[in-house]
Amino acid sequence: MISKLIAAMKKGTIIPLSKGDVVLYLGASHGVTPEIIAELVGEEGFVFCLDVAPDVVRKLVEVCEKHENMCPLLFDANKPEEYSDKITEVDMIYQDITQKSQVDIFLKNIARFLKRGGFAIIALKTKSIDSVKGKEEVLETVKKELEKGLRIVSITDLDPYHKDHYFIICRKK
Amino acid sequence: MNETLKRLRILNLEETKQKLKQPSDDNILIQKYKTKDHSYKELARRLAPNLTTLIGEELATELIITAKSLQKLAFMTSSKIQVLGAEAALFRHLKEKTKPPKHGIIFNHPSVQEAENKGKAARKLSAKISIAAKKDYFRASNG
Repeated sequence: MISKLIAAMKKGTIIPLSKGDVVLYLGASHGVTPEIIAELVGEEGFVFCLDVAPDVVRKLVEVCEKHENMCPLLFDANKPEEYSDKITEVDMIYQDITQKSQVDIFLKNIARFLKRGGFAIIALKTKSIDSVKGKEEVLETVKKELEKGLRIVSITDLDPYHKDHYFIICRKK
Repeated sequence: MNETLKRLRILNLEETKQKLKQPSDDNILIQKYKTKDHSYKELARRLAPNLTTLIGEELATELIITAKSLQKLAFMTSSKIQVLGAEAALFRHLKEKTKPPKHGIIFNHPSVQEAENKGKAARKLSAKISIAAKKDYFRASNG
């Protein structure tokens, strides 16, 4: 299984990342994909890696100690007010949390931390939002929710690398 | 990378390491109960409000200790909870075809001890414990 970011790149998506960007990564897990992003933003940039489970954060801390431009955060992404003083305003938000409320969490964090005109990426798992409906149907409802405050730049279907996954890039108005 | 980010990095790294070192609430409860610290009752009530109301702080704590954590207790079936603590008898039954155990540590509950049909009482009580443990574990704060 390859990283969703790499899968999207293989499908031909252009990731709107440039050197010196500050990124907030929600759902960092063991820190494999954050490591790639840290590499992409270079030494001038910075990656805040957030996860809620202590077990995976133990591994994440080891990874973050190796890189000068990464730092771990052990918080629940559903409660942005708890870590609002621990991070700065960011240029990009990357979210990879497979939960039913993932779109809700995404929008909450965008409203709070993303600067105007900044990019936001969500790796959407349609099966975790509705396991009965088809993936196109779920995508339509998610699109409507996202379009309230964001402009959708591109949508990539991650098949065959990840089943029922969409990679959506948005931009804050 | 500017100074603010550098400062935040050091601060967050330290804080996360500190958080990881802290034992979980379950472990504090188990430690307190084993060292006979009486404040365990308060912690048990906060950790598992429904379970403690149903069977009392002492038995609730003993169940959590035997299951090793509230999470593991919440994921157990009620038949497993019924014979929790009677593993020796259970495996003797599976191996040597003796009679299966009717109750484990939930025998300490008065409603099982005073019942005429102890097996039936244990079965019903364990079903309720299972529901209460699940409700306590899947509170809003636990996700």
